[in-house]
Order: sequence, then structure tokens, then C-alpha cells
Amino acid sequence: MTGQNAILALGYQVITGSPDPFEHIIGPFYERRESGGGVSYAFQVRQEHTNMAGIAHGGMLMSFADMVVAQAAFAANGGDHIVTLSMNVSFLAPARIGDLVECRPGLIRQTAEILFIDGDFRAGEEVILTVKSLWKTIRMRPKTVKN
Amino acid sequence: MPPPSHTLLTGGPFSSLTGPYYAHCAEDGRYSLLIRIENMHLNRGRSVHGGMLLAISDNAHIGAVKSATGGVMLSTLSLQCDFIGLAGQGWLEATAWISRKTSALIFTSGEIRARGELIMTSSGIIKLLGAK
Repeated sequence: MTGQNAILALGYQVITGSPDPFEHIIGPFYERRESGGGVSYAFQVRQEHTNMAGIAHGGMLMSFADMVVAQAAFAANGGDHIVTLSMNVSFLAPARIGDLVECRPGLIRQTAEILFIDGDFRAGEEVILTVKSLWKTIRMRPKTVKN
Repeated sequence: MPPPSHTLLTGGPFSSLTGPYYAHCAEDGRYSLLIRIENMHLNRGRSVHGGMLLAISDNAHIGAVKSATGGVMLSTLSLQCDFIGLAGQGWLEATAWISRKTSALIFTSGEIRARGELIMTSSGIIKLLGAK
């Protein structure tokens, strides 16, 4: 896997114009709408994503994972506001410079207020990280006008 | 500026990209990490991005273990983070400490606060590489 053209050749598009400043610092991220439903997300590990051991920093993997499961939660909630309640992350294997880390997150359960989103993150065929997350839906109350 | 007790963390390229972080380990093993949240760390709601809070927690847990073990190679197995509050720009303090240590595994706990208010609690399991 080398360079952006190889990623685009897999059917991915660059996610542009994220309203989150932090994602401009650590990105770019990619997305691909799947014919069977759902969306896959990806990022390629670069040198600036690494730790002192020369592999992807756990914080970088979790930051990407947070973005991915948030996208799934947004979609499940019709684009309305949500906040993260919890992220349970297991690190199974390292990701190295040049690896394309991919995930197709899934909605496990949805109640009136809570979304359960899971994701398995792969580098090639290997699962490197799993996430179980909880999200809270936020209803924007209309502002009350005092008479 | 951070208090004189804290020194600049040298933590590799990703920590340079998202930092700077300032670290201090107390004599009782409680590890403190300070970071000044700027615009680049925020989400669309003008709060610290959830991914950034996770990255800070990871750095704090690893820092606590490194302080206790010296130069041993480490690998995070699991990190569980609960998002309790929101924080905007300004100083954040993450603290982490060791709850239990076995020959191969270290169980850690941590929290992040902004101006004393609790933002995140976390617990981790870290493997000592090369340990029996």
C-alpha cells in the first residue's frame, strides 16, 4: 500500500471539510460507501502518527476509532447531536507506517437515548484494534421565550 | 506556562503533533500530564475532541507505567474511557496511577480534569514486553 492513489483505487474518497479542527491535524481520513450498506473508513499510518517505538501511537488509533464510530452514531441518529459516553478499546496488534487501517463500524443496538456502536479495525486481513462504544443522543430543546 | 515541577514530554512524532505535553511523576507514583488545549484540539462543538481525550489518557497511562518500570518495552492491551464532562480551551491535567502489577501485566487507572472538574475516567491493562 503506497500513497493516496492506491487508496483512491480501492474506491475510497478523502473526507474533506470536517468541522472538527482536530481531524485536520491528524488526518486525512477516507470513506467508502459499501454496496451492501454501511460505510467503511480508512487512514494510512504516516510517520507523524507514530510513537517512540516507530509504530502507530495508541492515541492515534483511538482518535481515528473515535471519528469512525462517531460517524456511525451520527448516521444512526439522523445527523442529530450525540456525545460519547464510553469507549472500550482493545489493542490486538501494532499498525506500521504505510499500513492502511480500515473499519466498517456497525450499529449494535439503539434505544431512545443510547447508541451501541462496535468496530473491528484491520490492517490488511489482520484485526489490530476493536472498539465497543456507547453514545448518548442529544435532543436540542427549543428555546423558551420568557414573557 | 506549566508549573516548574513538570518537564516537556519527549514522546515521539504523534505526541509532537498533538502536544506539547508536560509531565511529572510524584514520589507516590502518581503521574501527571499537563496539556494546554488550543483550537486545533477541538471538535465542531468547540470542546476537546473525544479522540484527543483518548490520546491524552493513553499517554498518561503509558507514562505512569514507564515511570514505574524504567526502560521496559510496553504494549497497551486495553483502555476503557468514560466521557464524563466537556472541556474547552485551556489547561487539562491527566493523572494516572498503577492499581496492580503482576509479573507481566500492569493495571492502571486515570482521570482527566479541567480546572478541577472531572472530564474523563479511565482504566487500562498494559503488557510488559519481554516479561515472563
